[in-house]
Amino acid sequence: MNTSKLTFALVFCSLGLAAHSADTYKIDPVHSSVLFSIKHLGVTDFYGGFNEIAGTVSFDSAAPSKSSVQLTVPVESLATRNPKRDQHLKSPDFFNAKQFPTLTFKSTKVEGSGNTYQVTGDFSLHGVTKPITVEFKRGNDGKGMTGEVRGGGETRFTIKRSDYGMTFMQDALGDEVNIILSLEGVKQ
Amino acid sequence: MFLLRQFWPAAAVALAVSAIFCAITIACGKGWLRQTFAALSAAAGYLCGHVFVTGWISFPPADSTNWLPVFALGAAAIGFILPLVPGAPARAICVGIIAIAAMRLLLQPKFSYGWSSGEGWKWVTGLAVAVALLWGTVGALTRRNSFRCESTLLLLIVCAGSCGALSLSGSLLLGQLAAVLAGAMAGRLILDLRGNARSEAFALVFALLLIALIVSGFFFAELPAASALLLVTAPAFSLVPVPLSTPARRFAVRIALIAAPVVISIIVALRASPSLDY
Repeated sequence: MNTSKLTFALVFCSLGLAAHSADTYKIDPVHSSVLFSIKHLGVTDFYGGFNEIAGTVSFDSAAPSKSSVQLTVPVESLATRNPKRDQHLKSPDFFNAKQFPTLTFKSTKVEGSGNTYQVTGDFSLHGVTKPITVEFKRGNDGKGMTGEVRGGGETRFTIKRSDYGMTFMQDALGDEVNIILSLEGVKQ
Repeated sequence: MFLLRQFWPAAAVALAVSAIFCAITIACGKGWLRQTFAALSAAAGYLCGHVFVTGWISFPPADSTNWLPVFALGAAAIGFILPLVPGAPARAICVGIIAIAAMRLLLQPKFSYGWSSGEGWKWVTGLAVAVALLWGTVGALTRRNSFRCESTLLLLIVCAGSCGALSLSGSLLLGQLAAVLAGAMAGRLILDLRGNARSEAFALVFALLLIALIVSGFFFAELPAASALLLVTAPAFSLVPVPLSTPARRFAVRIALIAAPVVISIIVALRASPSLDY
């Protein structure tokens, strides 16, 4: 009897441990935002963004180091409310969309607890890949209109476009680009 | 004024470096050192102008347009040894080989995102043939000068037209690089004035860089196909026989013959221009 109870307890515990694995969220592009701002002529920042984003976030609240993030943003989805500017930004002068059609981020390390995490990963832009670390603030999970579970969060960080080979018109456009990434995903 | 401020510094750098190498060439007297500096003049001018525009380039370059300085130096090296290759067909094959390698590197993004291998190699081979034909045309131009600076001045018209058409294609950067090519070539006027215009290396450097810039404009910006074709074939128009008595009149007609397709290419590019006025 004691052996049976012990066996049952062991099985129950292992099932409990196995049941707690990472949650995978598929990025919802409609409710996610990718925004950037850059200084124009030293006067003020102008804001633009990308209308599409795809990817997954795998989040393990018990062991954040086992979490991962993979994101892809098509450069063609760039939108700054001015079609002529959009076309120029996609040209070889800036993003060079026909040579480098996507921006990507793939995490290599996640640290943190609670709702604040340090996410380190490889950010690829304009054919150049560099490691970056961003602070990601996780929001609460919520329920969608069809009952699906949704989760997400936001990060803000700054890069230098010259680090990624985008050096054109440094006198008219700043080198620092501020990026706001707000993600919402559907739990799978 | 804005465009002039964007273009002239880099073109001036290319001109200065090319002119310095040409001056060294003249000072070298005869022999292999003279040939070396003559071969390097346009390539070195272009390299310095390109780096002035884009900053220092990593190797291998992430942006395929940044292969152009490497192409320039490679073409100068191959062009330097070309006279040692016996027979015109063998020299054309050497040119074709370097052109194939250059076009393959330049068009790597198309191979990565869209082309099948077969389609890609058709484009690479066709463009390599175009480079070889333009190289032959430029060589013929320099051999047939009515007076010393004629061929360089005619080719400068093509460079200026390329600068305009590429800028209108939506990429000021490519327009700037065409201005750099013009500057590198203009430096050679020093050699022309001293009667040392002929150079296999110069012809190959010009042909490879011009076509690489036009190809970049066509595949990576919005340069219309008609503009591209007119620009690369414009030098051939000036080879049309001109039965006029005086060199000045022949030169005037040749300017008109080369300027006509260049002007038409700019008009075509203007009509298709995505416009940078925002």
